[in-house]
Amino acid sequence: MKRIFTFFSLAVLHQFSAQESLIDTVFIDNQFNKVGKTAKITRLNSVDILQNSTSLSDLLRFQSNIYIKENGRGATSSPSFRGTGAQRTAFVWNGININSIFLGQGDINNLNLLSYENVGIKFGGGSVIYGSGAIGGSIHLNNTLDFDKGFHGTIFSEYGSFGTLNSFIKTKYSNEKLSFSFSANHSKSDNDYEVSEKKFINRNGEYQNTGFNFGLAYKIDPNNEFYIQSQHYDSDQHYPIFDENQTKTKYQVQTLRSLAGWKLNSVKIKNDLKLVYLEDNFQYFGDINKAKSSGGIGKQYIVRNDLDFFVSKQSSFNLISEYQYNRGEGYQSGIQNPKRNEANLSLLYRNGNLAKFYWEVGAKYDFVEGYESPFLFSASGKYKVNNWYQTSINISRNFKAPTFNDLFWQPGGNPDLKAETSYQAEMSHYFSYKNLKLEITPYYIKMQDMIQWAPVTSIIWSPKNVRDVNFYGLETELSFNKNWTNHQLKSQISYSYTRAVDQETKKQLSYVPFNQINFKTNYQYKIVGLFVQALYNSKIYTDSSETHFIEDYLILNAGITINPIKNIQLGFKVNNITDEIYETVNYYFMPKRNYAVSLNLNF
Amino acid sequence: MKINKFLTCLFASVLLVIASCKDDDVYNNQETSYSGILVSNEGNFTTPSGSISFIPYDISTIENDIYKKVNNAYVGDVVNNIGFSGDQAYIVVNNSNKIEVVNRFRFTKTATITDNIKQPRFIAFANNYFYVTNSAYQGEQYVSVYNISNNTFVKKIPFTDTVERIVSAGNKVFVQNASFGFGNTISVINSSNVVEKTITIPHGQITKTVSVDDVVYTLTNDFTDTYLYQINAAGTIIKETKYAGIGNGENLSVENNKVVFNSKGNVYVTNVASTATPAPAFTISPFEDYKTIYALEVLNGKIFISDVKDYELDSKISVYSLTGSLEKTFSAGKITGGFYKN
Repeated sequence: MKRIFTFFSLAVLHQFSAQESLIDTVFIDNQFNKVGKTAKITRLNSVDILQNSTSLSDLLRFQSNIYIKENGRGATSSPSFRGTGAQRTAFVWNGININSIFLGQGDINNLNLLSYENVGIKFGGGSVIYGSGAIGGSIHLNNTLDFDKGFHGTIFSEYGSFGTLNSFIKTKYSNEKLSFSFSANHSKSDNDYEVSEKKFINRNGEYQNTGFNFGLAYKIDPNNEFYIQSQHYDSDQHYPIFDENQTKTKYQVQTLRSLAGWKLNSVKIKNDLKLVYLEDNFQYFGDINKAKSSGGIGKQYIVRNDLDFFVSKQSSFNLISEYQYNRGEGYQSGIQNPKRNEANLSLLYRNGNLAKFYWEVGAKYDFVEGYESPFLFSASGKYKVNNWYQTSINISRNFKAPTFNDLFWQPGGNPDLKAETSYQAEMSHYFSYKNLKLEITPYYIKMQDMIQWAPVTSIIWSPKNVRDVNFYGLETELSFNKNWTNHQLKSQISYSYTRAVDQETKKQLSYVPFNQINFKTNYQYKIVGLFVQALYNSKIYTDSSETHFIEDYLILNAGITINPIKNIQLGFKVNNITDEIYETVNYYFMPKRNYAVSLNLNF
Repeated sequence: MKINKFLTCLFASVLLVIASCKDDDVYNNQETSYSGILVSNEGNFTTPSGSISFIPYDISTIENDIYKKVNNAYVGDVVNNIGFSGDQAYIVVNNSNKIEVVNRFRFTKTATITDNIKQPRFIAFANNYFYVTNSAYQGEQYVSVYNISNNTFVKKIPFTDTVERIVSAGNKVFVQNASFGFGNTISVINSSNVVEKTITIPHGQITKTVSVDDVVYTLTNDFTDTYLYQINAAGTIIKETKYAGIGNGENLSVENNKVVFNSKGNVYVTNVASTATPAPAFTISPFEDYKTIYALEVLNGKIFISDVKDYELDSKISVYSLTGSLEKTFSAGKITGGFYKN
């Protein structure tokens, strides 16, 4: 564990260095470090992940400014980045956009965070590199493969309130040429928590899921390496009901993600070719005691080539070409057998010739069957004014493609839809003074042709490009890190102000809090570690007329870890210490105070 | 001056006593608290956002969420129908698979019925029983029968066709085997709780069936014309009225020999006895689709209409006179689907 952490810190330290190749690691998503040179990013390492090990929803809720709408703990959950909503957040698995081809969004509680070595959060649009949906931001789920580290294993097991069990086992082996990684994770919960003040019981809230991850990399010679990363995931998630006699429903998912790649490194050229296969199977059971009532399969075949051509040591052209063949199959749903061919080309130019000023420009064009695709671009730069102040600017045009459901759902699908497009500008200011760092990012997003489903006849609903929405706000982050001989302190407080204004009604979109504050601190003294997390959300409107709302809330979590011997860590944590009664989605209460104990073995 | 002041005081205290007596009366006399118009708001499917609102007969105001106020709990998920018997109101909550029974004037909960209830739609009362239509999507269709005295389940009457509205006339119960504008039969259940006959309506597809004074009325349409059928308590069609040229007639309501329905944005008011095609009494525009006039009922000589605002915002209730002058509008709960005289 510690080694992973140390290793990861090293990786972070190196991110601004041009000599990335020195790090003996395969970053399967080789774009993320480049993107981080100008964009605002947050990296959550394995220590951060284990502080909110219950779900990716919890991790993002307590360790980022993303608003997470969760239909009760562990149930359907979706993110809202800068107020833009679930369909405008891209989930990126090892560099590949994995938003559902049917829904255009990621299902957070079906992306088990224990499967990943680190989670990256990129704020702002990134469609030129990460494709459809990267409007508000993107969430990067990464596995890494390292060389020459020998054998290493981790076992983690956690038992928590409401019959919750989260575990994983991970083994890694690497020598100079070969790197191998395998992990298995399992999460399960009865999840039958009660909020007696509200006469609420999370009935039929149980879930369980299992994931297997396999990675392999092989260096043929110093300039060539092959790698494989694969994930299999299986989940059974019940949907909460509010009444004892209500029909119980559930949702099952089986996911397969696989990629194989070849990296070529030479002085002038760095090339990364990936072949990817993504398969999403899902079944909905309108009654848990009966056969499935509907379902579907989505399959994506992707070839992606990422070529860097170095004009000089510090400047390069980057050509990303991608071809996708997507296929859907529906079972008792409005989807028959839609298919789609899609190709896209992105060209970027990066220049770091000046010591103080780094800049890049990019453009992208999609050739897509079935809908009109917009021309996209990006331009960004970072200027180091002096040793305590840097500033960066990002301007881009991004898009969200109409989904298979939007286009092909029968009846109602609208084949004439255009993609949603958005223009975005943001400017970050970074200040540092001794151990303090302050980051201030105002942003503005102008989104056009937002797709919305509305009834057209008594039975048929249909999507249209109807709304224009402006998003603007301010993100600030103040952090303090310090190491003494035996002590180590890391603290961070972030505040975001978010407006998402419908241009017709001039009202805030639903489920976008105006103000959100996150605080986290970690303190380590020899073998004892402590952490505290706090989250404040101001009142949140639940409809688009600003009539009904969820009250503001403040949640506090804390935990302690002890390493009695070097390779063993014991943990205990308390979530929602103050027993706050809160909802993130109207009617779905979240748990009151709850506990977890954990054991972490490294060998 | 002093005596004046004394008298004022006396007068004031007498008033106070009277006033407090009156208050006590209101409190003790169940007949006057929620007596007026009850409004059922379905709420959004899959959340317990259903609710019940109250409008006094003088339509001066609306009180939303009365069930929650009284019982400190959500009523449930898709409040589809309310039926009345004695001093009890039976709230049919579709997606919660239950019927909440409350004192009809105080709204305090007295029972919850879940036995043999699956996706319940409507309720009717006859012969010391009550009858509930249960219609699961692509699933079982049946009428469940309960004893009115103790709410116990009596029997299940299975159907092959869909079961939707249910009304009583005399000692018979009429089940509309049509929903969402499809279907043209009505089944008749007799006092032994057996289906004794099925009435096939000659023209059009049934949109809504009601009963008034032991006569069953059903409105049908065939997209070019609208028909009103009257069926007697024996289950015989006694009259057909063709409203020629009015397509899409729906949302039937009958009171004091007045028939009210709408076709798109046009609202028609005519007499039960009249055979002529009426002209619209008034028109609601813009009329988008059936969500603009989601529910319509004539109660106490006033027409109550709900606009469910794209199912997302609070519904708007408009109250019209029979001649079409708009008297009042209210903001109610989500998806207002029914109005009831209480």
